Amino acid sequence: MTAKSFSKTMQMIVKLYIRDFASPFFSVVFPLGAILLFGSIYGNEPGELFNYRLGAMDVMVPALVGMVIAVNGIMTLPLNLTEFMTNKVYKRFDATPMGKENIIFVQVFVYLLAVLVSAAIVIVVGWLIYDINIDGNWLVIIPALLLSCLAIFAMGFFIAAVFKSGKIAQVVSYIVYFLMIFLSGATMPLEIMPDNIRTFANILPLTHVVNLLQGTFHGQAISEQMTAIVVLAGLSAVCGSIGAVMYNRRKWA
Amino acid sequence: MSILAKVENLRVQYGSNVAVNDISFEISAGEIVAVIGSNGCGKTSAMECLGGLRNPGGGAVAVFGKDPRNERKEIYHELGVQLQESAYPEKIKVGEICDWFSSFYENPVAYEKLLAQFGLADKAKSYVSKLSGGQRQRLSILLAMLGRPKLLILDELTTGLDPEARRGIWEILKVIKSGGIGVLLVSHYMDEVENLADRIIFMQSGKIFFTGTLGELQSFAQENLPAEKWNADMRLEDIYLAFAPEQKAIALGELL
Repeated sequence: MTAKSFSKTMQMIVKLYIRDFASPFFSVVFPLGAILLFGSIYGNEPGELFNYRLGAMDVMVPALVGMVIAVNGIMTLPLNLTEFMTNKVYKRFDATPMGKENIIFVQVFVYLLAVLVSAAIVIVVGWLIYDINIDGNWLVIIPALLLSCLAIFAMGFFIAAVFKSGKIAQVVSYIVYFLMIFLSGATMPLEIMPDNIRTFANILPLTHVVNLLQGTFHGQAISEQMTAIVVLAGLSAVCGSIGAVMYNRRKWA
Repeated sequence: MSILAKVENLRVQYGSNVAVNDISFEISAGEIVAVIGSNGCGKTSAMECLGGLRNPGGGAVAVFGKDPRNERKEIYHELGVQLQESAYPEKIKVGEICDWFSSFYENPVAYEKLLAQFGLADKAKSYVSKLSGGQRQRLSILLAMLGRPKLLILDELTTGLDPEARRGIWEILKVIKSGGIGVLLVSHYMDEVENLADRIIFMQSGKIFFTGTLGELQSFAQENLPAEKWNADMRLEDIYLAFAPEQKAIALGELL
């Protein structure tokens, strides 16, 4: 892949991303709407729910960053990969000097970039409007963000690679996505949910993303984040390796 | 004429089904070679092996002297392909996909010029999904031409097109050939093959049944067909059908 083909492919994947209304909507508009809605209801004054230490927006903003990762990793990534695979778009790229592997690489790169841009917008808006507290060290927050992306993107790749039918892969990614964004604390704080839902939430990978981001945003010690770190690293390794094996077996041709 | 591609004893197998069984052929610069044969006779599998898109089960394939499976990206700098089964991203415009594909090549043809030559200049800002069948096929050839290929593989290029669109594509192919480009054309249209092909490869059940010019095929038919099936006015389609395995006729009475 040359610099020219990389840059042109990146431009085109960005255009296709923007034209696919759902991805930019759920990645930017929805979290911004959630910030404004929850902010207008709860404000950001520390209250009883968070032990008078944090405000609702201090907790919601890192959780919404988790949602942004899920939008791009569990919805955009597998949906686009399976669309290109089932419609034989990758096969057409294989009949060029570019090859599908480079297209997939640029797709992942663009979706990762979309996470970083959307997360930056969400954080800046939260900070400008509600003066959210970010007590953590950015040298810890950024690796936590990248580990979260790695795990959730690996999960999205796993869904695209494992299911032979594109339609089934799409249904699975929708189910996993909606289950996780509503029950992991990404859009509604787990603190307001009943105990049985909170127990169930612990098996959802996005819950660990939300815990890790909230913890690192608010300066908790790494030792307190070990469960989330181990779960997300394990998920990255397992989903990434199984996905890669299945991809190599089928070649998406 | 220099040999652009060479297939020797190619074999492709899907489970127990042998799709391509020990076939050999060559394609030279400036010639159009047409591959004909019934559905499932192994034409597309053979083309995909030639393009490095499928692993051969046996035999050897060389394009510009290189193994297409191991050096796929290298050969596509000089190989253009129009696939029977392929699509483009849904929300992409004609000009955009041309610009995108151009970036894959070191010295691409100016796509604006090709759009004009292929009658698609006014469609540059249209979505590919909104093009008619004929326009999409012309776009497929255009994309295959962008990298200034020495060899073009066109798989069922005019299937589904109206006669006018087909004739338009024939004219384009004649111009391409006159530029010294080798073309491997898979087709179900015998009039197309008669008009365009310098040589014909006739496949049956994964094997090459006949290879040669149209005139040689007519002589072959005269020698090999039973006297009651042969006549001097036979066109390619008649010869094709005369050699094709007998199709079981459906008794209309069973359906009514």
